Amino acid sequence: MQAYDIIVIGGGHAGCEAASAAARMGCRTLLITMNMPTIGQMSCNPAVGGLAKGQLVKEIDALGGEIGYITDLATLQFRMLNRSKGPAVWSPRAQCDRELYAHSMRIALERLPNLDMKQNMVVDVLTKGGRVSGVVCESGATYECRAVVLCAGTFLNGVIFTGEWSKPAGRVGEEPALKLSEALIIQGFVIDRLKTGTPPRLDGRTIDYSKCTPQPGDERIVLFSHRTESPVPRQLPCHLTYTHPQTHAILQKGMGKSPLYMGRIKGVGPRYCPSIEDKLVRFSDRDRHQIFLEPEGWETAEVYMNGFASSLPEDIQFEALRTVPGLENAEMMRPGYAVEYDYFPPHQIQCTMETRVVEGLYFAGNVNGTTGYEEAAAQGFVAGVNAVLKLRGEEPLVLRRDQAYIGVLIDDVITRTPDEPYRMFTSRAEHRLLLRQDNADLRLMEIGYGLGLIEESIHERLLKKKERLSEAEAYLHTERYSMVDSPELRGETFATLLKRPENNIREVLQMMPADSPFEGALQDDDFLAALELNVKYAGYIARQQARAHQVARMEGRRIPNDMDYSEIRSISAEGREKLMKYKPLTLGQAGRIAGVSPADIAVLIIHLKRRES
Amino acid sequence: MKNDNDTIIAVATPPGTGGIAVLRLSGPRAKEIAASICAVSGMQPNTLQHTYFRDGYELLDEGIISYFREPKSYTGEDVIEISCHGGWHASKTIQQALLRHGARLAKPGEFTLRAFLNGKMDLAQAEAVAQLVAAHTDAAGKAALRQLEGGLSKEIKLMRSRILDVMSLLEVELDFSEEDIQFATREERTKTIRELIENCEGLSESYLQGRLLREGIRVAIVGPPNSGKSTLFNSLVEEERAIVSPHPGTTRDVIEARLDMGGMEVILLDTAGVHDSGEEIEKAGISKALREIQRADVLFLVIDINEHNKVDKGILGEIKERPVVVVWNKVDSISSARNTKTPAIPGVSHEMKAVRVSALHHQGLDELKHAMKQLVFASETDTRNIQVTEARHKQEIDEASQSLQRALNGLEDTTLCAADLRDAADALGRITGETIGEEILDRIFSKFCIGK
Repeated sequence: MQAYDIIVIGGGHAGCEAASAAARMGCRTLLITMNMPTIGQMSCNPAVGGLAKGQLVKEIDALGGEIGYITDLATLQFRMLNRSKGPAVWSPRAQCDRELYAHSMRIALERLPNLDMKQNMVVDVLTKGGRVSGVVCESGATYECRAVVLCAGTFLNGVIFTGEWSKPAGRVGEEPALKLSEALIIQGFVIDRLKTGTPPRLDGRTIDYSKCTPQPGDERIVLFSHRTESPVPRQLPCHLTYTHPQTHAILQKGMGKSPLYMGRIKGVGPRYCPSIEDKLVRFSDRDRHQIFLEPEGWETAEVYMNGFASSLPEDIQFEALRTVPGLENAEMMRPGYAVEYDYFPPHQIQCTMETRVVEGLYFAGNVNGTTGYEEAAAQGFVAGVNAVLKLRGEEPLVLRRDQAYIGVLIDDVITRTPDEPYRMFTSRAEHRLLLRQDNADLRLMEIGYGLGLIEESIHERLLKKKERLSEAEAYLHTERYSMVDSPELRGETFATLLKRPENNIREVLQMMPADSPFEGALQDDDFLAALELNVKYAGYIARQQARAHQVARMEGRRIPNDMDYSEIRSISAEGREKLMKYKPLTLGQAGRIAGVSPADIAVLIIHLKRRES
Repeated sequence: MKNDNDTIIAVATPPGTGGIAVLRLSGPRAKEIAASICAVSGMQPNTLQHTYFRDGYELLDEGIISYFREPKSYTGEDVIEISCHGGWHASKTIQQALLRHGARLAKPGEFTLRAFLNGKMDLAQAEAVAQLVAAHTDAAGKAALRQLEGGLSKEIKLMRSRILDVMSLLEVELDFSEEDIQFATREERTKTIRELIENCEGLSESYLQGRLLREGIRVAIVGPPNSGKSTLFNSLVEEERAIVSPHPGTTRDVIEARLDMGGMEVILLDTAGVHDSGEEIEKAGISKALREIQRADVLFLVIDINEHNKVDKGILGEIKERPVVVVWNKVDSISSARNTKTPAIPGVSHEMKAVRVSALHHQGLDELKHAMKQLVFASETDTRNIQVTEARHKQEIDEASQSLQRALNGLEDTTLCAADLRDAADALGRITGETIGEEILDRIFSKFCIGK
């Protein structure tokens, strides 16, 4: 029997990060996927990043993950979203070549000497004395290991739906993962069902783009990864069009055959990325909805119809989409569908991503009730790293909520049962001004370096950047405007000028003498953004840091493992049930559990005090 | 924890000689422990029963016993209230007996703590209990009662939820900017934030009044020498506290008395007459008087109506912009014809509240008290009668107000505006306990006194 340190089940965005991190940290790692060609597959939209998700990608990159680098390689178009809002919520997003992305990810993994890859379906996780000891595959093959990271995505008992037609599948055209859920239930796990969907893919040769609004990429591409040398040389546009009242009428006609509204799908779907039929029901007053036509690759004619996710019958989808301006003659290459799958409600997972039920078994990605490549990648990375750290007997990687979106994500995932697949938003981060895409490296790269996942040369660059930043900041605060042309500004420090609402950093750089130490800085967007924000929003940053510090007190109050909530009479019934279920580690965590009220926390605080005294 | 389940006792009425004393027992064994000292069987909730209290064979007292079944009681636990004869002896012996039968003496604030823990009141209400217990006068008691009823909590919760509404609209704008959604207009947002700031400012202003109610109004009697300040002091206190003589400069030190003036607690201060003095001790007294002028909430500037031209310029400078009632004294000494007109003070152009009194003959004192009240509550426009009486509450409201002001200025940058609104919501939440922090609880529950 072959033996590994760590086995990763699943080759999606979570699985790739977990396998890469574990292998690069020196563990003998095996990635088992049901289908080798779909490693790194983008199951849904051909894009990485976006609001709050772009921040996640940059954080993963700063820690030494893969997703940012692969995205830079596969980028078709880049946009910095939310430019009109505050810099704290600027979010990078890249449309990607779907095949190039998957290919690049596979090549990246194949270059790792510690990583084996096998095509098979895992049907059981073996344990010895409550600890993971190996996995069993459908073919009977068995592999020994000391830790398992399960990243099965939507494949566990996956069923796809298009109208009245349905079929067991993890993605369209791909077998579902059977038996593994049942095996885990026997070991004591609880499962539930969730649902998500995807829109039709069109034949780009049949789209009349003259009736749509082109959406070009930004002139400047901000790279996701520190490893990327240079951005892609050119970009492709996306196109914007809208549904028509007639589109809605046709879709309404087919509602009776919707698997969602007929109750055939029991899992709850996402509110945030709803199907077109959901939008019609929930926003019945709207007479049109946005449709983005996104290229699937440099070469292919296939186009992703973003905003039109549907599980209505194929003929209805087709008839309806043909009423959309620009799509009058469009051919549908693949219909949209919904997929329903098993997930593990989150009280079974700890902040390290290790399960509470089986030691050495980690869950990451959609199996934890999240949706999105970036959310999955973040969890996969943390799970992979923690599996290694535990085998080494070292302290786990647990990021705080004021430290990273990843910290927010994981803390949320383990403290609240999702009503729908969980996706990241900037509003979920209460320390949002601190957690920006421009400073992900400043926040997290030292950690990645400590883990051995950041190369020496990149780390050196970080140290230099920090040095340059403090120099530049000092310069802004001490040097004064000296040109004669605008006397009203003379004598002001550059920091004062920058703090004026009408000025930005690039403009202030223009005001500086030629010998200022900012030579070449104009090209470094992240550097300039960090510098600008540090000066301009100093008061806000200080206040958020103070808040983070206050929170840290609550986070620092650990709740003993042997806490018996049934003994505390004054806690509300719901609060008690939730606390017993989630077993929070700290007071801070307890306070974030949905259903635990502030009054419950007050009771808990007083109880802990009495216990101590 | 076992601690939560024990039964606590305290005498709930203040020590001293009242008609009756009330003991309160709270906890799961309240009924059982009470039954061990009296022959009441089958106590019904919310009824009163007459009984004799005994410890073994020894008769302790007779009185009334009532039972409040959980959760419909003050603490949310089983509560027994025993009314016995007043005075120290009866209540103490009954308490001793109950302690022997398994009750534990309550720690300061423990009854309220339990009420809070059992969800019977929120933080602001719990704080109100502490105030109610400490209230010296009617008005202060009423303010605390209103807070206990949840007036302040309700107001704060409403304001907080309005902030959260605005926040959620901002968040939609930040997180769904790629969607084709109509966002709230700048004007609506500005209007709501402005209103919230006004609310905060109103509440903050009510604090001064609230503090005056709670801690008492500091009223300093000041003026030139020999204008009759000490006579006025004695008249108001209704006893001969200050030495009175016909010689200027009799009062050297500051004399202080507490009294109830029309339902409000007043700390009345008699001070040395202010004038140019070369004498060392008198100079010290005058500098004390000047200090009081700055410190007091209200000044009674006493002037001999016959000497109105001789008011010291120095003191007029000192009282500028301070709340002053001019007290024209010795009106009994002038003819009734001249008595109708109030003279002007040379060099003072702005209007000051003035009354005419004869301190010696207790004339015009009611008018003086009335004028003082008017002065203190002149700014009382708040008809909802919600008063902020806790320094902690005022501090949080001011913080919320500042954050809202920043939010208003920062509307350009949605992220900053959202951060400010979050700060404001948190500050308000700390008043009611919706935002919880350990230090708040510590601070609050260290304040209660036994029995409540």
